[in-house]
Amino acid sequence: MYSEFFKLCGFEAEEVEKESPRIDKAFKIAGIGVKDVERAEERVKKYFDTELFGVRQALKIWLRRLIDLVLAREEGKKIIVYPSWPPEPRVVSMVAMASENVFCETPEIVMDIVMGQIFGKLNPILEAAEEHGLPPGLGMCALNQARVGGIAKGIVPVPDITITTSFLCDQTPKTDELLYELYGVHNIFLDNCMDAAWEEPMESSPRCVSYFAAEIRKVVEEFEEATGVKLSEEELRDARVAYAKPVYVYQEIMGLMKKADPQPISQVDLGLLYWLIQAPERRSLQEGLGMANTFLRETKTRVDAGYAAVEKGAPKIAWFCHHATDPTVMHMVEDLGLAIPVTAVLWTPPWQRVKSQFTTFAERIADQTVRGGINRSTMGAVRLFQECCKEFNVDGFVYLYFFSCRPICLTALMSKKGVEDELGIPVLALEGDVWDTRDYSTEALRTRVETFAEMLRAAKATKIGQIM
Amino acid sequence: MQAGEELSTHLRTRVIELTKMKGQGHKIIGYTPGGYMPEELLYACGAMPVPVGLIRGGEHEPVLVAGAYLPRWLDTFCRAQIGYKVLREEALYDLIDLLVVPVTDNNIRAIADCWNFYTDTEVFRFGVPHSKTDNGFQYYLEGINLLKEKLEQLTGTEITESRLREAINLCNRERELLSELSLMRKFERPPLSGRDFIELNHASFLADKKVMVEALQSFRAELKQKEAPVPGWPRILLTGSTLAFGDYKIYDLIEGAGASVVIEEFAEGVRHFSEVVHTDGALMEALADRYFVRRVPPAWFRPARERLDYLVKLAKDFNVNGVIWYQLMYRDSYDIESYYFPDILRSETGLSMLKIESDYDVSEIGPFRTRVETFIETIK
Repeated sequence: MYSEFFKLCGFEAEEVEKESPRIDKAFKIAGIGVKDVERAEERVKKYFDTELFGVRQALKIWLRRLIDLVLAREEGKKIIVYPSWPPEPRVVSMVAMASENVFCETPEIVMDIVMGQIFGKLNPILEAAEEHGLPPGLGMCALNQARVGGIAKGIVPVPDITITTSFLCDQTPKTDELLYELYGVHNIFLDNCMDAAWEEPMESSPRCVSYFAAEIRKVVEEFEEATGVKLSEEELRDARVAYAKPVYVYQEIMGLMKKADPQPISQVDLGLLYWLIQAPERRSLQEGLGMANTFLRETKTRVDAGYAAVEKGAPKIAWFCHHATDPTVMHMVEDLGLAIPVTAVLWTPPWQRVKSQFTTFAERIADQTVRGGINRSTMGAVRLFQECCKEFNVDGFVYLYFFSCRPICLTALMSKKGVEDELGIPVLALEGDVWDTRDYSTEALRTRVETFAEMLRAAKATKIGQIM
Repeated sequence: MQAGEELSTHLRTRVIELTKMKGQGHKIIGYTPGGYMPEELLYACGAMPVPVGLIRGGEHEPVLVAGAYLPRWLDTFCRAQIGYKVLREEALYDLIDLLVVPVTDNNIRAIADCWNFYTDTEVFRFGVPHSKTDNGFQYYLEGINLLKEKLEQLTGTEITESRLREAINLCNRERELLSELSLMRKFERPPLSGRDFIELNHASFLADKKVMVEALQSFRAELKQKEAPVPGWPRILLTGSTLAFGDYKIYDLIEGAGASVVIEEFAEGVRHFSEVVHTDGALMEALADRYFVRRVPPAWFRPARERLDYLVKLAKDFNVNGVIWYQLMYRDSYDIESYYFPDILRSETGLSMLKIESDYDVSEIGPFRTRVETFIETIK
């Protein structure tokens, strides 16, 4: 029932045959039937550029991640750890690489990408969470709902441990407490305080680094105590490097996107890579670099060939964040003739590219985390977006904020004003969601983006006219 | 009551008094609620504290106005503080020289960020760790030491050991008196209503501390002689996210339905006065010990089970018949707790709980009344 679909997603025929017992089992548990596979095949053909080998490789990794996740307990993984979103990816990487016995995965992202983007059947999972402590109508994050709903529906195994950052988002650690109350899951919290002074330069405060580093060490100790798995400094360093390499490659791709006209590749395709980097696990850490390099190579080839995913000369915008569940929104924007060279939230600003002066492993991670962006402060986010728009020389910025995310809502209107005042470019603040398609309509968003696109085109034409 | 009239007069003229003091060079320090701001430091440097947020709450217009500055998906009370500031309706907010924000969660951070971004007010932040660990204690202690330095620099007054001790003793005295008055509601026939007590408790955030202590002493004396009224029944424990000054509709509804609020578990309720600062060691450590370690944590702590256990204890100690959970919209930590707490409450005490969420909207009152009356009927 699924051979063609899996081939479309980068599997070889022999691989499908070999994997079929696992696929059958996992699909049965996840409630994926023949019709779902047919729909997924149509969706993949419609929304992703499967001519790109990188895209097929990414789809393959994502499907495997779903299967691994669903079967983790059944296949005898002794310790299941969920680093709840938003994670500290370097800490997650070291846990993911700690031991073959440890299965470390971010289930909500797997649910979003695979059950959402690929199969288009995330809503029943979110509805299950709404009956288990994350009710509708109260601005509950659909990412947390995907984690709880996946468990409530029996698709995602109950974990032994959750590891949660406890500063940017308040709802995520609280959701993990809910998992403790419902299922007795051991919660480990990685704390920090977002108290950077407003106008402080984008350097990390030693006090904050020291606290966060101590928390990282505490998490390592607590993890070791709870699991009996030891994490050596060397392994930790290796995991950090394994995480960093695809990030560098992604930054290189963004470098190509910055200079390219026309835009060579859709952001919907790049999103598959983006989320793999944002939610690392063992398979992604082992295979992700190769896939990222494929994306880079193919992007270069397309730039050289003048391939146009978006028409040449299109106004350029920075977009806030990749959609995790819904490919239609970013496609709609690109179809309206807006080039998106960058999604601002994963772009690394110059002050974060500076090598850390701290010496220990934990301090270096802490330093990199608190030095800028939304992990630092609202002003850190404003500065990041200003710098990003400047560096990519965009004509506008679209900040689509997720209505159920407090820290993202908090920075939305201040970022709009901050970028408009500093750079004199228009910013469109859109209320929507990247985790839950029930909260907005792409067609309703189209009306607003269309007007914005017309305005940018007119402004660009005027600018060119003035220069000539 | 004589004490009540004197205190009312003091509160009515407080803005004028503070304006005069500001003219004479006193610094007016605003701070956000939540209970992590050691007031003692402000008194010890001769500054006057103005608790932003406790001044006003419960009105819808500021919440609407805040929508131009902040999306609606943050806590109602925090959005209201941005609205009040922008509307310039609250004279006390305009007196503030420095806003101190113990950064707890994103909702409180929103107040700091919006005041920073949209107004000229200077804001000082210090982080409150989310777990009671040794690291957390050290971080909090460093934070209040930085605050001490900032206040000394702003006011030009050194916070000496003796000044700090004097301020601690004064604040402790106020806590003891509030605690004593609150405990009177353990009696079968409480001598004061829940609404009277919470107004008194809120007044303690605004009034001059010495005036307040004198007023509380008078209240205590008067209440000891007072013949207690026929008890309201059933007895209610009121808990939730924030109980702002002026946001009393929930009291009116409960008391109007024939029940009595006998204890309030809020940062603006029992957590405000439940622990004193010990003065037998280093004083800054003693402040951190009282405000961070011994204080019952709110819902955004990780984990926050301590508060839920405390709620169960209060329910038993005050012999309540039901719990009403009054929270503001989009305070998600409380929302999530409100899902599993009823089971804990029922298994430990056999009691039921009603949850109500407010967005400070006048149209809420009708549906709230129906729900409160029904709940009270079911637990009678």
